[in-house]
Amino acid sequence: MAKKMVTGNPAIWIDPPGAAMYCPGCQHPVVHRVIADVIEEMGIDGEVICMLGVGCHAFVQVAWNIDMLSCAHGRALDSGTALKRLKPEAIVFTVQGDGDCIAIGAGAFVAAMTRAEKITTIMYNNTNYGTTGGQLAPTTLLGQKTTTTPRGRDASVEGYPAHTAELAATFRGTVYSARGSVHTPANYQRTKKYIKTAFQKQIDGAGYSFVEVLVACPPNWHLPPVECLDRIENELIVEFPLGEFKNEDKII
Amino acid sequence: MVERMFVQGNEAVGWGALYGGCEAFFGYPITPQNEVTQWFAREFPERGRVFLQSQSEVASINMLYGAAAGGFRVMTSTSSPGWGLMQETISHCAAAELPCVIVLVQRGGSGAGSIRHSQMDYITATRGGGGGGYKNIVLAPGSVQETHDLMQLSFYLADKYRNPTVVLSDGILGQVQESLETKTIDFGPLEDKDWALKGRDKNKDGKRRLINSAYGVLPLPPYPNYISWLTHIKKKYQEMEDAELRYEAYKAEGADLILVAYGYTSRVSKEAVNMARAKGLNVGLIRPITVWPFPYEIIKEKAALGCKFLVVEDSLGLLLEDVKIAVQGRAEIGLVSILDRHIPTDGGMIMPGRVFEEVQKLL
Amino acid sequence: MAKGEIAIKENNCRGCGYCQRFCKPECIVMSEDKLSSLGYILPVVVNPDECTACGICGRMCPHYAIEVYKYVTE
Repeated sequence: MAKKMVTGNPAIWIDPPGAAMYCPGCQHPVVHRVIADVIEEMGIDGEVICMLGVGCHAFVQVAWNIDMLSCAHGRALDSGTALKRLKPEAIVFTVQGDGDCIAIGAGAFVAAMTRAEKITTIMYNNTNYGTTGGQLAPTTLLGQKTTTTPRGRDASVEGYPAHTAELAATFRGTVYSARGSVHTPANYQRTKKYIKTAFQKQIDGAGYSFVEVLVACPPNWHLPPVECLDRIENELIVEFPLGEFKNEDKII
Repeated sequence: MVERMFVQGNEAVGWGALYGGCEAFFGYPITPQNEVTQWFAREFPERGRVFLQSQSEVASINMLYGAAAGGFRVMTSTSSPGWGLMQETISHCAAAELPCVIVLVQRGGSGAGSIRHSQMDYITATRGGGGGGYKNIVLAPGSVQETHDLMQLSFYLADKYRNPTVVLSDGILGQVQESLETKTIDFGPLEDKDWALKGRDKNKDGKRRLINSAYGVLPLPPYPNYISWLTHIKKKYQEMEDAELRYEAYKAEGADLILVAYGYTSRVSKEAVNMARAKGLNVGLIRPITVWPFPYEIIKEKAALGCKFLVVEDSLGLLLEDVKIAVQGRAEIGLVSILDRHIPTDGGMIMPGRVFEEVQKLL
Repeated sequence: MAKGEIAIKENNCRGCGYCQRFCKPECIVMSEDKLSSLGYILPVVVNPDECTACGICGRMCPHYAIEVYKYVTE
C-alpha cells in the first residue's frame, strides 16, 4: 500500500542535534513544533529572525533552520527592538522563558510594550527555571516546591505567581495577548491559532503581540510526564487561565 | 565637502559618527554626555537614520547587540555608571564577534560619584568589565577634532575585527568647545558582512545564520569545541595588538623625563612640556591614542635609555599600572593624580603649573 | 481497516508515554519491558488496524520519535 508521511520532523527542523536535547516528556519541543509549523505554513521561514532568550527554550538554536540570535538573559526584546527598527520588513520574534521574560527581562518586556514594538514574543511557562535545575520563577505556583523554595513557594516570602499574558494586555502598545497550552491535542491546535494570529499582527504592522504557552517540566516538577499533563489541567490552568486577553487589529 | 564648525566634544561624537557611516544610535540619558544623545535625537531621524532612547544602559548595549547582528553600524554613548551596566553584553558582543561602538564620557567615580570629569574608568575600559576573556579596542581622543576623527576610526576598526570598540572621552573633553573640520575619512575597503542576520533566504548562500555568544559550547559550526574558538580569539587579539597601536610622541626624542597621559590631561601635559622646554629642561610626552593596544614598547625603550617617567592622570593611578608594566621597575615613575587638582572639589582639574612643579622635582 | 501506520524512531524516544495518552483509538501502549538502546521504555503498536493516521501521536511527541504515514491510493 502506498503511503505518504503526514507527521514527521517539522519542515525547518535540523536533525540530528535537534532531537536529542530535551528531558523526557519536556514539552518545549512540542511548542517548538507548533512555532515551526506556523512559520512554515505562513511561508515566512526564509525571512523571520528569531531573538532567543536564555533557558531551556534556547536549545532550539541547534534545530530551527532560520536566522537566529542568542541574546543576553532577559534582553531578547531589547535586541529585537533594535533589529526591527533597522529592518522593519523583517519579521522579528522573541522566544523566551518565564524567567527570561518576566523576571530578569521584565524591564525589556515593559519597555517594548510601552514603545509598541511591532515584535512577537512567545514565552514558554514551565513555572520554574528549568536549565539551572528547577529554581523558583515568577510563575512558580504557591506551595510549589523548587530547589530554592524547598518548603514550597510561600506568598509571605516569595509573593504571587506573575500573570504575564494578562499584564501584556494592559499596555496600549500590545494589540494581541493570549495564553495557551499543549497538554491536550485540542489545546495544541488553539495554541497554534494564537501563535499564527500573533505573527499576523506583526505582519500587519498592528503592534506588539504576545503568546504565553504552559509547558510540562517533568524533572523539576518531580512528576512522571503524563502526570505533568494532569498538573497543567488541574493546577496550572486554575492559576493561569487559557485564552485570548486582547485581540485588536490596531492600537486602540 | 569640509564643514568648519565650533562645537563641543560631545557634538563632535555625532558628526564623527555620521561621517563614519553610523546607521543607528541607542542611548540613555546620563550626565556629562547628554549632548551626544540630544545630537542624535536632533540630527539622525531627518537623515533617515535610527535614533532611539532606551529604558536603561543595559537596554542600550543589548540594542547594539541586536542591531550589530543584523550587520548595521551602530553605537551608544554613556558615562561611568551606565558603562558599568553595559559590561555583560559588551562581553557578549566580543564573544559573538559583533562590531559596535561605545562612547564613554568618564565622570567622577566611583558609585554615583560626580557628574563632572575624571579618568577613573581606564581599567574597566582597557581590561573589560564583563565576563572575562575579551578585549575592547579603546581609542582616547585628546581634542574635539580628534574625537570626530576617532569616531570614524572606531566604526572602521569595529567592523574590521568584528569587535566592540570604545571611544574613551571625559567630562572636560565632552563639554569643551573647539573648532572642528568635518570630513569623511576613508580607511579602505572592508569585507561584506555575509555573517549578518538578514533572514535565511536573503543570505547569499541561502543558509541560516546563528549568532551566539557561546561558540564551541553547543555542537554547532563553525567551531567544533570551546578551545578551538578561544584559539581563534587569541589569534585575533594578537592581530589587533600588532596592527592597531597608535600613540603620539611629543618632543620625546632624547628626553630625560617623559610624561605619559591621554585625554584632557595630555593637553595639560603638553603645556607643561612646553613650560619645561622653555626652561631648558629635556622633557617630552608620550600620548597613547589607543589605550588598548597600549604603547608598552616605546616606553620600554625609553626606560632602557635611562628616561624617568611622570604619569599625569585624573584618577588615583590606573594608567600608572600600564606604565609600570612597560617600565618593569627599570626607571623612576612619578604620578600627578586626581589628588593634585587645582581645587579640592569634583570640579577641580589637573593644571599645567602643577605638572611642571612635579617635573622640576624629578629632574 | 487501518488508514495509515506509524514508525517509531527508537533512539529518539524517551519513554514519556504521551503517545499512549493521546492515541484515541488506543493503538499505542507503553511496553512492559521493551527498552531502547538508551534504556528507555518503548511504546508498541498493539492494534494497528485502528490507526486513523490522525498524526496526533507524532505532533504531541516531545522527542519527534514518531513518523505517521497515511495510506494513499493512486
